[in-house]
Order: sequence, then C-alpha cells, then structure tokens
Amino acid sequence: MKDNLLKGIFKENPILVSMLGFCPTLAITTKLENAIGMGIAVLFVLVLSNFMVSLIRNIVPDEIRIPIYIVIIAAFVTIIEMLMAAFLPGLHESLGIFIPLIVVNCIILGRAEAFASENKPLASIVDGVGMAIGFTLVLSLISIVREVLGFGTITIWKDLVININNLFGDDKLVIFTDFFVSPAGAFIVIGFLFAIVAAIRNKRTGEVK
Amino acid sequence: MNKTLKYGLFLLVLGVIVAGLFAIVNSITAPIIAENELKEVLPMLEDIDEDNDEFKDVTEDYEELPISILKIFAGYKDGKNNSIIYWTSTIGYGGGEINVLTAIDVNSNQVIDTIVTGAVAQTAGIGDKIFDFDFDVAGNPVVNYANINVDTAVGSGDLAVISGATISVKGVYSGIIIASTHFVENFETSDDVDEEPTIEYILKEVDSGSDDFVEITDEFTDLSENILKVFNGKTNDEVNSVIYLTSTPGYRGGLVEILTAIDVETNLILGVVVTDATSQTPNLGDVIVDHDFDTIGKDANIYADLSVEDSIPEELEAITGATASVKAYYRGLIAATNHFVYEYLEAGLGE
Repeated sequence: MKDNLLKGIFKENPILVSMLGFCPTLAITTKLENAIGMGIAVLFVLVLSNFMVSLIRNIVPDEIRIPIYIVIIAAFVTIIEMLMAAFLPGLHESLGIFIPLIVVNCIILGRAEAFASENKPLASIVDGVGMAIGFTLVLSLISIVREVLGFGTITIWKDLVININNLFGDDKLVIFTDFFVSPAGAFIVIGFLFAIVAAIRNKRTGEVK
Repeated sequence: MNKTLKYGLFLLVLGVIVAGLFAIVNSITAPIIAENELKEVLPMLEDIDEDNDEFKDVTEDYEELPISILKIFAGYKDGKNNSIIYWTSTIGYGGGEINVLTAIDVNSNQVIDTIVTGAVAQTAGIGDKIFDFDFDVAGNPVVNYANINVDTAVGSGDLAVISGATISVKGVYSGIIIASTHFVENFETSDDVDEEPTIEYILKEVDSGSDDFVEITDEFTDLSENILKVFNGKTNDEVNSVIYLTSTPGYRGGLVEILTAIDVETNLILGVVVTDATSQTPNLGDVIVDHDFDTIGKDANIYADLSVEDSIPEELEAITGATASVKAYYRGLIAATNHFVYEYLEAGLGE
C-alpha cells in the first residue's frame, strides 16, 4: 500500500518520469495558488475516476472501455468545474480552460487504463492519491520558481501572499522578470527541473558519465 | 443479444446516470454561480444606474435571447422596477470581444447610460479609448437605437465616433443597438412608438430638414426594378425632398441598399446613405458605407444620365479594390436621380 502511494510521488511521477499532463504544467504554473487548485481538481477527478473504473472493471465490455472511461472522467471533471465555479470562482477563472481540459489529461486516462482497470477499488484510490500528490508537488515546485522569479511573490491562497519584493525595499529586483511567467519561462524552468532529476537518477544508478 | 445493441445500452445507461448526477450538482451550484456573477457585476450596475438600490438577474425570463446578450438585469428602487440593464458581448477590432452595459429607464424609455466593461485586443491608445469615451447616448430615446444598422448609423455621422477607432466604436454601438432592440421588443411601454422607427430614423439622416416623411411609391406605376420605395420629406405639409430607397447589385450580385434624398426646389442632392452593404466583402466592399463619394450638394442632373456598367466615369469618386461595390452605389444614385429628373420633375410633382 505504501509503495503504491509513494510510486506516484517519486518512482513513477506522472510529470517527471512518465512525462504526462504537460499542457496544464506549462500553462497554469504562474502562481502557486493555481498549482494547488489544479492539483485539488486532478486529485478529485483521478481518485473518483480510478475508483469508478475499478468498481465496474469486471462488467465493462473491453471493446468500449475507452469511451466509458472518457464519459466517467468527463462527468467528474464537469462536476468539479461546477463546484469550483460555485465555491471558488476566483480560482475557476484563473484556471480557465484548463479545468475542462483535465478530461484529456493523459494522467487520468492513463491511470484508468493502466492501473484502475486491473486493480481493486482501494488500491486504485491509493494509486490516484499518490499520482495526484506527485502531480501537485511538481506543479507547485515549478509554480514557486516561476512566481518568485517572475513576480517576486508566492501566492499560497487568495490573499495569503509572501511578497519577496518587500524584502528588498520598494524597488522590484531586476531578476524578477515577467519572462519567467511567460510560456518560454515555463519551458526553461521545466528543462532545468528535468536536468536536476536526471542528474539525481544518474547519480543513484551510478551512471554518471 | 446483439453486441452492438448491448454496448449501446451500456453507454445509454451510463449517460443517463451521468445526466442525473449533473442535474443534482447543477441544482446546487447554479443559484450560487448566479449569485457570484451578480456580485461581480454589481459595482458596475451601481455605477451605471446609481438611482436604483437593488438589482436582479432576469436573464432566464427571456427565451431565445440573441447570443450577444450575456445578461439582463432589472434595477429596483423601493421594490419598483425602474430600469433594465443589458450586458452585451459584441465584436470589435481584430475580432476582439467588447462587453458593454447599457441601462435603459423603463418609465421614460430613454437610455440612462452605457459603459464599456471589457474590451479584448483593441489597439492600445486608439481602440481602447472606448473605455473613457462619451458615446453621448444618455437621455436619448431608446427607439433611436433600436433596429438600426450600425454601419449606416456610424457612417452617417449622427453617432459620436473616435477617429481611427471606428471598428471598436461600432462594437460598442452594436451592443447598445442589440440592447435597445430587445428592450423595444420586450419592455417599451410608450404608446406613441413609431411602427417603423428604422426607416424614419434613417430618412432623417438623409434629409434632416424635414420632420415628416410620406411614402409615395404607389404614385408611380412604372418604377425601375432598382427603386424599392419613394418618399417625400415634408415640413409643415410642404414637400422639401424626394427620397429614394434603391437596391442594386454589387460584388457577386449581392444587393446594396441606398437612400438618396434630393431637394425638389434646387435639384441638389441632400444626402446619400448606404443602408445595407452586408452582402459586400467585409473591410473591402463594405467600405462604401463610410466612404465620402462627394455627392452631397451636387445637382441631380449630373448623375441622371451616367452609366457605370462598363466602367466608372473618371469624374466619379472610386475606391481601389472595391469597384463592384462602388458601382452598386452609383447604380442606386443614378436610378434615383434619373427617376427624379425624368419622371418626378417631368410629371410636375416638384412644382
């Protein structure tokens, strides 16, 4: 059970290892708040879709399993979107189109197909939780780097903001440039993150050249 | 059981379960979402309609709303409905969305005010001037804006425009027109509403000196097929002008409608307005709506015998790249002036 949970965070991290779910990773990681919000949305959808897929795995005809998974995932995404629009309108507006796009997030369908359709409900829930935490941690890490370098702030939630700019007086530091919250900045930050992960993995496996 | 039928049934049952789930969640979230949206727009509503102290979203009371109307709000003071406020979304420069709030007084049927609440992709320093520009609609009767053609109205010079930002301005006026049209069709209570506000309004654009317009089309038995209607512009029962509504083929046969007003005493052209050029190529042929053809003040006899079928005569104003549409303009003008000179005056109607 513990391995099942942890594999999503480290060994089989959906972004850093499986390299899935890149669209939201690049697009919404301009603020930590966005990453947390997207992470919660993915957690909700991933856990419930994994649970449902696992629950009906023995009665789903193999030939139409993918459309069925898509309907289940789309249903949960629509529900989370409705709930977000009602109870977290600011975050809903901030995440925008990337909430409905969770339907086509490869992590969700990938886990339904690769894990939930072959495992029991409890194991599938744990797998979903682990994957969603791994996804959220990486989104959060990228968001913190981009937001700090881009705006000089860390927006944890709504008005709960750590303003690093304030530490340096009134003037915004030169290093805080909007470039890092642009799409190009996202690619560069993710590139560096991949390099660090690769270096760590190489060191662990003793494959340092 | 047939496999296909089995699979179909499986998906159908799943679809029904999901639909039921949506209905339950929607019944919980929809009122909260509506309340949130109202909260978001409330400061703007209070800004545009400061006399009222309560606002309700009444959008769902109206079926088959035009897609451009995002929301309809009703403004209340001491529980009495005093205003209707439309939130519209129209297209401005570069296809960017322009959001406009238009408040209308239900008692006087006058526009209270209009404010631009959002404008996407409008040129900085030019198109985005619409945020601060005074469109001068406050206090005007809503009927002045209902059902009018935005191209014609802006082109006529009767509406305030920002130089160099015509498309953005048209986006704003489109919102006001859509709001006014819906208001007239659904709320207006005045008894003295003109049944044909559109034509009355446009006739005044070509002959602002007359205050009464009478259709006289039936007085002519052999009208050219290009002439749709003929009017007399009058003041104190005295005929000032003859106004022709013509429809002539332009680019790829698309019809262009033009109103031409001619002074019956001096035979001078009082005004020419393109009332419909929607069939012409956007941003190319339809520039005839705004273009100054330098025809106003000219003698009708100059145009009565001209022909543009082979080419546009050198003495006439042309537009490069829009020849077919320009020809349609002149065909209408020639049809009107020709009838005026050879039918109207010959029959002694101008005396």
